[in-house]
Amino acid sequence: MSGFLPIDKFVFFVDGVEDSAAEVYQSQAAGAYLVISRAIESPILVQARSAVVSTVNLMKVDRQADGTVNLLPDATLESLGRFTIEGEGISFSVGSRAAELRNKPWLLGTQDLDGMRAYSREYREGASAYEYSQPVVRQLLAESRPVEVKVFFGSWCPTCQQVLPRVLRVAQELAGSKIELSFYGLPRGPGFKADPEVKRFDIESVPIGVILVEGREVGRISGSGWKIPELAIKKVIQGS
Amino acid sequence: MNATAPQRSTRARLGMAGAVFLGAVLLVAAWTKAIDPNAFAEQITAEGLDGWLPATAVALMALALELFVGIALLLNIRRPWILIPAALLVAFFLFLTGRAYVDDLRGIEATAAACGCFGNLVDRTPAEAFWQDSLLLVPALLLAFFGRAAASALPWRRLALVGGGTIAGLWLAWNAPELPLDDLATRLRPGALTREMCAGRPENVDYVCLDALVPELDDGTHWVVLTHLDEEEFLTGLEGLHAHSLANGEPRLWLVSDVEPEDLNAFTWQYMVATDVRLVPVTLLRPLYRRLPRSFRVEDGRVVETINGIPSLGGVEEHLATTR
Repeated sequence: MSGFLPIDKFVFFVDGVEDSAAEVYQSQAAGAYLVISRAIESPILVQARSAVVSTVNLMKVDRQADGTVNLLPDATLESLGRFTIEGEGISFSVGSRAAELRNKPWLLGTQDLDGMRAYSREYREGASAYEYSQPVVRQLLAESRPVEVKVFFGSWCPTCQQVLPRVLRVAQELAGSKIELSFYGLPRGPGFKADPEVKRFDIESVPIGVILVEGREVGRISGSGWKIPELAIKKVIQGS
Repeated sequence: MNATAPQRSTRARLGMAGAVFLGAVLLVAAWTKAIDPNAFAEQITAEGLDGWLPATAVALMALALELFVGIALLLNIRRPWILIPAALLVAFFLFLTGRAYVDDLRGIEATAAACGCFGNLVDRTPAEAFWQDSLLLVPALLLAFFGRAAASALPWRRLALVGGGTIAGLWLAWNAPELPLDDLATRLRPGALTREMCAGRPENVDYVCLDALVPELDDGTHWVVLTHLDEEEFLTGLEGLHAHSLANGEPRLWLVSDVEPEDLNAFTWQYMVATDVRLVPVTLLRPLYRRLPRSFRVEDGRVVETINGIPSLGGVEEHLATTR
């Protein structure tokens, strides 16, 4: 098995304690995750489709210069049994110890651009790849009124994962201008409706952008508006 | 005598015009339901009209009535036993569309993806459905009562045509799921644009179109598989789709589903496919298929081919052979 890429969407727990230094890699070709944790003696291979968890000899893990990891051809796997899907993660046993691989905790509350970028590799890579409209961004940079774009999102929400990188790129390009983008993470489930900002802005779903010009709400971005966020912002501001 | 004869003739002509028009509208409505009876049955369930019989049975009975009355009116049979059911049908359609309209005004979200007597095929707001149906149906119904001939022998030949047409319509509905009518029965057909496959209304905050959720479809050639993630046929072909994506095969492949995020999470743990899965609202997905999985090839945002099931992609078998 080869081509395990480092990913940052999981956290690893052993006996209920988070191992923040654990490294998690994914190989789509192998349909597997590889977890390297100091809390466990040997690296752990989690094979998604068969639900089988195995240990691998650390000496058979071949780290590459580009950050990827291969398992050497003569690596032998020692089965630990099967994992069970629980909520947003999986749990399994490593000998007498209980291990869990869980999705990262949701980003909640107000987040700045750096916090958003730090949270997810997908956010960072997607933002770098987004080719924004330079003429539109130039027009936004010339805006003279103070504008706030409050972006409500859920880090658990698949649509938000598609949309946020584009918004983050636009936020990055508008940094220092009169247009400030802020991000507000919401939980899934009952906590969503209970959030004070949800009540204040009457938010029904995410992702949604509330645009305030000089402190007054002038419009919202949602659904198809997120396809080209800079254009959607410009349209709302121009119409205000 | 000379003055009343032309008057009666005019009334009779007006009445016949009303009946023929109303019959034609009912038949168009029946056609849209007959070619996708499962969607009609779903709509019956969503409207809460299937309490005493299975939704499919209610759908077939409603369709039979609509066909019978529609063909009879088209053939200018305007006996009370046709006009009274016609009036009841019109009243029922207006009750449904009116209820949806009132709910919409009160801010209650519609549970059914479709509105009015034209089923899933026509995209209308509750207000449009109510007012369009009212204008199409009520004047024609009132006119149909004008200038009726005095009671005479039953028009057996025309009644035979009505019976035959109704049976033919029911046969079509019964067999429609197996007939290649998907492009006719849904909004997904060659020539359709992904930017026009939308859910909600442009003025509403939840309005969203497929091109926003899968913006990559705007450029180049792609295959899109519409599916529920637990469809047996989809799961059977999943390995091939995975292999195609893993090999960076062209055209690029997308899975589009209406599952909840937690179900997607479980699916990812079970299968970990290399193919991107994009989630869309059920109101966007439902008008695009009669049964899942359904796939389409899109070039620069325009649908160029649709198929039932999942596409057979070149190179998959070779790739599978090398990776086994």
